[in-house]
Amino acid sequence: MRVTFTVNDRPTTADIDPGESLMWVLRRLGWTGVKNGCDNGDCGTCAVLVDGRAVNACLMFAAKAAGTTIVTIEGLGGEGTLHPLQRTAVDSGSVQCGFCTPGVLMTAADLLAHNPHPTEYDIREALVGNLCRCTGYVKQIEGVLAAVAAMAEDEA
Amino acid sequence: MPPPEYVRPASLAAAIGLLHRDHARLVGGGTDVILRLPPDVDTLIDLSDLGLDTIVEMDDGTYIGSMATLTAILEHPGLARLLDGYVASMMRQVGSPLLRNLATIGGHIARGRISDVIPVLLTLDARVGVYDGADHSLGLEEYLEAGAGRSGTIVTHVMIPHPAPGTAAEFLKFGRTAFDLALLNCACLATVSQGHVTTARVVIGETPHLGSRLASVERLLVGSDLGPAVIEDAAELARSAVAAGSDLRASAAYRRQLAFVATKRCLTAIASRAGTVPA
Repeated sequence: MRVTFTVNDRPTTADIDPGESLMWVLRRLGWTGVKNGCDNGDCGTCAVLVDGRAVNACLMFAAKAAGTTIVTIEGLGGEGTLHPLQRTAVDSGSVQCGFCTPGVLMTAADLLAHNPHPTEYDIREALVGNLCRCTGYVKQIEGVLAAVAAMAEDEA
Repeated sequence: MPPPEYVRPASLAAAIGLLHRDHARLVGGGTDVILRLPPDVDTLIDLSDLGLDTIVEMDDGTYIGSMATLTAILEHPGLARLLDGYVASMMRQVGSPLLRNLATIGGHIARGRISDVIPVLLTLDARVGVYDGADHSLGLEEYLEAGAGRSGTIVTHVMIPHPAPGTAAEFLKFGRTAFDLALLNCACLATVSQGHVTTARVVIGETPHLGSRLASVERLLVGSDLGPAVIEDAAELARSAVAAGSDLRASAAYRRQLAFVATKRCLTAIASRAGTVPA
């Protein structure tokens, strides 16, 4: 069947198997920043924004995404610019192998869009579904806190 | 096998018609179905276009549409206020925000297993609206007991009756990690009037069985003053009354100990809050 949605501001029509997940479809469309870590909803590396909310793309029927606005890590920043979350992820040293990073940042983007001043605990709670094998999470959380500060400064 | 057909019916009647096909599956958030899709499924019925995602406070209670996501429930201001955040305190421990943004309350209840949500709803005497060609309302316990008899029905809403004044409740979940399924969970509720318990609900779940009420513990609490001695007795009774079993998550003996601790902690928390709102 065919399904139409918007991905990173681009109207997109795709041929899909009705039973397949959004993760497989997005990757086939070339958005390989959407990572396949487990294909089971357990690791969070496939997290994307659908109508502003972060979801595991591997748990969402692609057909269910018809008519929605999807943002992947490739669309988080602007053309040639990094989103503050991306900037602080790099600066905080929280990117080791980098495989979990897209999922972490999309989840964090959802958090900050709905709670611009989260506590450290809020950030920890938000990231429970994003596993990382490398970092031990400390610098990831510091990175998100730094993005919060940077974005608050931009507002001021 | 040919791929299934993915459809979004525009009416409940159309959805029921599709459900009567031999190998149809309902899709709420779809997070369970997509992982366990048998090859012979020929129709996926997505309920997103039926307007079932609203949360409305009426005179008799809060009506939560079956397609409301767990996030919508967590963020709803009225539900956040209910019994000092009882529902919200449980919901933020369910899975992750990623999962809650997709999973629906109707899909979760229809699944009827592995749940932190159901124990809380049982203590609240929640009711379930189902459609099978006509609308019906039944208690959540009755709905769950129907088992396979539920096939061919569509959950349309969950209703949480407004709690009586003087009611307090507490939920507790033991898990290895923040993202893990429960080793055991416990939901308790009590209504206190003039210093005595008039209503008690004690539900212990993931024993590893789905949460169910411990009637003997509830009977012990009703009429009592919910003081420390009664709480200790209730917790000890929960330890022996709970139908604990061993599985990969925990042993029966450990679950019995958790049941004792959880019951005691929940009732102690409730005792400090119940009855403070005048009946």
